[in-house]
Amino acid sequence: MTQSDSEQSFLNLNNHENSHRALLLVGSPKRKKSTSFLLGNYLLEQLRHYGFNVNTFMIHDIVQFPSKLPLFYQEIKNHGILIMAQPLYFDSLPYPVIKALELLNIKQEDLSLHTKKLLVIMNNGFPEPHHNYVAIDILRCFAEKTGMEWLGSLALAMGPVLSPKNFNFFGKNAKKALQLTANALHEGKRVPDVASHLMERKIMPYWIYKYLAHYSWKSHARKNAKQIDLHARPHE
Amino acid sequence: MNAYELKKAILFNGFLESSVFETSVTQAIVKELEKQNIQTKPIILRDMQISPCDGCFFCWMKTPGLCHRTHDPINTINYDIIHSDIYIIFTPITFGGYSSEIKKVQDRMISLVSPFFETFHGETHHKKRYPHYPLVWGIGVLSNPEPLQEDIFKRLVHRNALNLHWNKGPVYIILYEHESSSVINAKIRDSIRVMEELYDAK
Repeated sequence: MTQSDSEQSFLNLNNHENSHRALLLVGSPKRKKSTSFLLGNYLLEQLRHYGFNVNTFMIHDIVQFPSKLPLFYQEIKNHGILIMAQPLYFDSLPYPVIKALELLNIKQEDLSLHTKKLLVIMNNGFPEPHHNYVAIDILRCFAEKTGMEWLGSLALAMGPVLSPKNFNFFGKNAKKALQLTANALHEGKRVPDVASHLMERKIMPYWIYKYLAHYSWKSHARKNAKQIDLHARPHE
Repeated sequence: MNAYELKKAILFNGFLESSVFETSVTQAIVKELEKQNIQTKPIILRDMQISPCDGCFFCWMKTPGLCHRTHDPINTINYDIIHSDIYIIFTPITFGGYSSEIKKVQDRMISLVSPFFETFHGETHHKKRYPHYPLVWGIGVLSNPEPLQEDIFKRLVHRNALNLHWNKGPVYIILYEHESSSVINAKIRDSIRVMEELYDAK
């Protein structure tokens, strides 16, 4: 659901007014319960401290509730900085995010995308951040083709570890990266390299992450009354 | 020598709209594969009602290997994929990646792999669920040559192939809409030959 700060649905803001309005586009089906929202929303909070006007839109709304498409376009029009935060799905972006890009591409002139800026936050469940790079490059290509200014990207691995409860502990580097990014945006700059490097730092040693991940799958399966074979091959 | 032969292919057409181009290229792909005794099942995704993945992970935890949402044909599609030797992604190149129609199906293919991790090709991937996975063949279409998009597409096909435990490099071709049918057919034939050579060496 959109959380618009105002009921001014049809603002006609000029580029200067838009430059301090940031829209977080969350591309996870888990919406506010997602790591994507956790990261993106933290960045929005930092931007709010700098006086930015911020809003959030859930990208899955455009496929689940097509009647929200006009609202999506209007939110895009009303904001000069677009922050796209989503998980990695099969080496790329989730379907609703790609659908959004296709739709925005068609409407790029109406929406004056060439006056806007794009920042990307990717997260994935593997322990290595490089799995995110192709997805980031797809979004960078989108920015280039639509004339948007590319502000840079942040890539997080081990995404499922993070939650609101443990963000202060496991998310130290991510929070610092987002703080540095907000500061850079406030100064009219791009994502600094130091922020990108901080975001890519391991949240925990790989062997612990792998152990926790495997334990988590097994314990989820055990919660069900019947025995579940996690290695089942139903298509054989 | 590979224990498996290339016999069956499944072709996912990810074009958002029908066109003479995509129809004729699909026919060309099917025909060229047939010459190599490979039978192809073409699927036009825009004609299918497939829901997006909702990220529940039930296909790993509650109904391992199957999507619990059975209102659409995704489980049947995944069955066909795992019983194919070639998984063809035929798509307009969309900012270097696949179209939304391709992604709608691909997002729901995670049930075909295990949730557990292993190291493959020097990095972490999900373990196999099945002993045999199809070779990934990316066929991307652009209006004109665009090196940036083509590079992203090649890397994406490669990464997809790695996730399906194929480490012999990406198998892909880029077609341009203005090319003649003879050029397109030649590209398809060459790619099939490369695919067969790589497959035999697996």
